[in-house]
Amino acid sequence: MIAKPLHQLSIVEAGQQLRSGAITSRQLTDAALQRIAALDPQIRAFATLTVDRALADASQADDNFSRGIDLGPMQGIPYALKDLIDTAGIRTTAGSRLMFDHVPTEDAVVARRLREAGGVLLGKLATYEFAVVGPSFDLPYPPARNPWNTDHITGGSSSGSAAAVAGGFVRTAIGTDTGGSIRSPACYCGVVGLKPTFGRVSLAGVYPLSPSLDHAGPLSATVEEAALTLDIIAGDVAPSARSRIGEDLRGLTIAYPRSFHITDPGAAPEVVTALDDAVSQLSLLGARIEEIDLPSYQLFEDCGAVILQAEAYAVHEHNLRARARDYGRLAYQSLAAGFVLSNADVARAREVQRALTLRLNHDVFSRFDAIVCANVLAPAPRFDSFDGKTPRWTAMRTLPFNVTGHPALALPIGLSKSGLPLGMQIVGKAFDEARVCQIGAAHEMATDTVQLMV
Amino acid sequence: MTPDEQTVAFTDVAFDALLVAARLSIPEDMRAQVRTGANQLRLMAARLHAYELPAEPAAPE
Repeated sequence: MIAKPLHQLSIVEAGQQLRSGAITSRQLTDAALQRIAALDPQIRAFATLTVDRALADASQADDNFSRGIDLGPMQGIPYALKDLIDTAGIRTTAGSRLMFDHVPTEDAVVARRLREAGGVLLGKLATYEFAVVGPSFDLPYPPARNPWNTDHITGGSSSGSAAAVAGGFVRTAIGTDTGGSIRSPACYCGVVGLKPTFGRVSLAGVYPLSPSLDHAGPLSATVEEAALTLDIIAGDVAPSARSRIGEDLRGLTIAYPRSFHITDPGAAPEVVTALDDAVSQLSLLGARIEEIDLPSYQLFEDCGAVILQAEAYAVHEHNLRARARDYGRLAYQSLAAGFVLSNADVARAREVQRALTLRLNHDVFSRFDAIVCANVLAPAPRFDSFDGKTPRWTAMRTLPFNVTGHPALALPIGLSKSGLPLGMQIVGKAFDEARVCQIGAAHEMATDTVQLMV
Repeated sequence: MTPDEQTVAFTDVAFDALLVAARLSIPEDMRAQVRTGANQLRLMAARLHAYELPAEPAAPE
């Protein structure tokens, strides 16, 4: 049997080899650093490489293995963090000149949990400025590029996190998601992204964009690796996200709101076909599928955008007045527009948010185990379709589940004619990440989508 | 009546007055885009105010 290259070993496979002594964490780490040195000058996933820290973490992990100390599945495994997540002693810029020299004194909770689990931190990953909008070329570092075709964007704002996994630099990375910033880059780059239930993962030490819509979660090569990562960063507040992986789908009922994307003129026909095929696959695996209608996407978007923009303006109000020229153009323009929103607007948006959340819980999740729906509505656009002056968001269906807080898994489902990844979302009941991962893993196993990774 | 872009868009005077009230001085080269974004948000907020909230579903027995 031909041994897999080290970067193609899943976290579980690498863990088995680390524990059997077949490989060391130092070898895994060296292989990752060599791959980054060879490929990242084109992909630009990393904002900061932490080579010394990585080698020290790897040595510690190997020492632990040799002494019989086992901190769990991440021990000795390389990972990386979005540059929005505080790391003690390591520069954390949020992709902005405003924070170019910012070196936190403490780890964010998610960073601390991965460190305490024995992971090997390779570095900090590119983000859109303050997780707002991109791609931009007037920031401290250039935007990450899509490993499938570097003429195309990764999506964002967890752009480096998606590119690092798709590029085979790490098997798992952490991103943040306020309107789709884990799930849309996961989709564009053909990797798995898991936005957990609102509140499941601590945001302490993560630079806020919109505190009532922000989430932190993993972008990973497979569903199992995303679930494993979530379990570590979440602590133990809910059942393990891995607990149902491997269970079949017989007896499950899944809602398919096809009208949620089919009515959008931005929905690419090949996305529509791929989604229909993916849903058929879930049916073949034993799930009962029923087409339903959700409330209009525009209502979700209006509600989410008003809350997001009002909260983001509040976070940045002082700097927007005092340091306008230190922002990149796109982030400044987007953030400053929030000044027009009133307290009454936000109060109204929160009423609608509550109504939409209750409606999903009452009308959908009382009858169904999960929703399967569109993620982004077209493959990753080219860089040259953005003018760098006007904030522009691509068509997607991610924001509704920031509004309602339900867990949502982004999963690859195939390739476009032009060879770019396509994907879907699986949305579950609050704190039922185990169910969305069960469905996602079953689809992944049946369709071999894990082979999509570059 | 459903709000539309034209009816909610800021006049020059209203936009300037709101900027003064917010103590926000937007660099001239970004002013047009901020105003476009502000108008879009104003439209979104107007639609939310016009939306008729459904009755809250009864809690399960």
